[in-house]
Amino acid sequence: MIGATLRPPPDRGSATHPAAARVNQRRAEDDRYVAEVRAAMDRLSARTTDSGEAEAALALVEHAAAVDVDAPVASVAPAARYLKVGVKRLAGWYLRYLGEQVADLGKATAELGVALIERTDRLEGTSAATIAELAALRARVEDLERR
Amino acid sequence: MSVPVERIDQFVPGFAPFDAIGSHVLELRRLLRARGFPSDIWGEHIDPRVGADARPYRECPPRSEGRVLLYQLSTGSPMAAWLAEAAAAGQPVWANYHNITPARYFARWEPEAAASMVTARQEMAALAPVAARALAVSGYNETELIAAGYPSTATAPLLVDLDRYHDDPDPAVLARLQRRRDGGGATWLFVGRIAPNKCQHHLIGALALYRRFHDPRARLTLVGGVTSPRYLHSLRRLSAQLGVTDAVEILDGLPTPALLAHFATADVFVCMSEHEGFCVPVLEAFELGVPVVAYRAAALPETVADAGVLLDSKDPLEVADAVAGLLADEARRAGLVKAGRARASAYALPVTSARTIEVIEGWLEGGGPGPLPA
Repeated sequence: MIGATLRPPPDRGSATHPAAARVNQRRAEDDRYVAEVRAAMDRLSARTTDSGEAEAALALVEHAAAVDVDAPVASVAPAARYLKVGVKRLAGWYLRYLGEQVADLGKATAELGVALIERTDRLEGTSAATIAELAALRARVEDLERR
Repeated sequence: MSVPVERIDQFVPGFAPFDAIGSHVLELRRLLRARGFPSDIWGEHIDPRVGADARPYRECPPRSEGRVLLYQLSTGSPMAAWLAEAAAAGQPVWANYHNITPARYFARWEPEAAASMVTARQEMAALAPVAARALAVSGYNETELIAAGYPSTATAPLLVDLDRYHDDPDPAVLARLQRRRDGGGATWLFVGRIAPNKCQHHLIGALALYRRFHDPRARLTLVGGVTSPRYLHSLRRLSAQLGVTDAVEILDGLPTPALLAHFATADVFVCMSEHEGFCVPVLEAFELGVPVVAYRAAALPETVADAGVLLDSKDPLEVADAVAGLLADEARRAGLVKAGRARASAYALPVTSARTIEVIEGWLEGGGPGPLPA
């Protein structure tokens, strides 16, 4: 119709279009999930540095960082099992609240450990290079003194 | 004057039925006896199920004329020092090397096991000057022997009776797995001990992305005894974290018929292991017609050769895409199954037995064996 105001075609790349927004949201979720998987792989993989002892200690921190508040309720006596289930239901919210904070503290400690190990590795690398440089300079001085 | 060798006795730190080294040791004893060499097995830890096949090594007379002591070297053991003393006293000692897992894989999970691995490497180095000959089950292992200073080395593959994988699978397990398969979704399989060097976490990560982007009903079955309980615990936690708990099945101690049912219903065998001295399960997959996708590490490129998909990256997305690409291409999949069967035939027991005897008899005649056929 001539003279009528034409609605522009939907911009498929626009984030404001509902379908495009859904696609973008899905893509962002996928990206986050891929990043989460990659981070988990990295966390569980063996390190190639020599700081084995520190890593072992750190692994124990990481291991203990996740607090399992889902206490087992199995028991040979049915009455004891019911009692455990009851206590668990009553105290569950409180334990979860406490557990999350302890887990956060554990994660933070582990992160600190990783940072310290990486820093130590870097310092060791620098110190090895400095020692090599010093040895080369000493050899050069001795060579010059002999002349 | 040297005394002719009349018997070859084997020394095994951990002797158990069904595992790769236990089966190899039994086959080797059969082979040696068939060639006219009396041969006994002496162990440190002897599984009661094979108690009739071995005796405690402490009961073995350390010195005997015309005898070779063949050490199955794969882990730390006081047996190594005992053998070194025997060698120092003039008894010929040979090694059969299966590789030792680097301690760094276990340091964060099982520090005691890691310490034992460090000891094992030290023992391996200490044996180098006294072990007159050393046989490696792969070229990768032979390279380590040479680097450690072993003066005379050769490669002869692990003795594996692949015919036993053609028994009937467990019918009940098979029926259950087939019902599950009828529900759709690809089945990934990996067989190997639950251990950090086998990197089962990479399989869980890759499966999670495979389900996300390619096949939401796919599942992963991990079969193998538990070497590291802490690592197992972390695998379970990882599955929960990535939302794939229901898609990951971890099975310990499967009897062979049940294992065969899992191979019969698997779509792909995926191996992300970073350290293998040989990797028998890959051969099992080849023999049973399951295509293999593996990470290119340690002895795997040698065992897999061109009969599987070898990946240079362990990135979970790349692994997921590689498996998806293989399973979507029926012609490629069929080609790999065929190549796998051909590869397995190169490791058939008559072939590997002939190679082992060629090496041993070559050494006994005073010469060296020829190179390993390609």
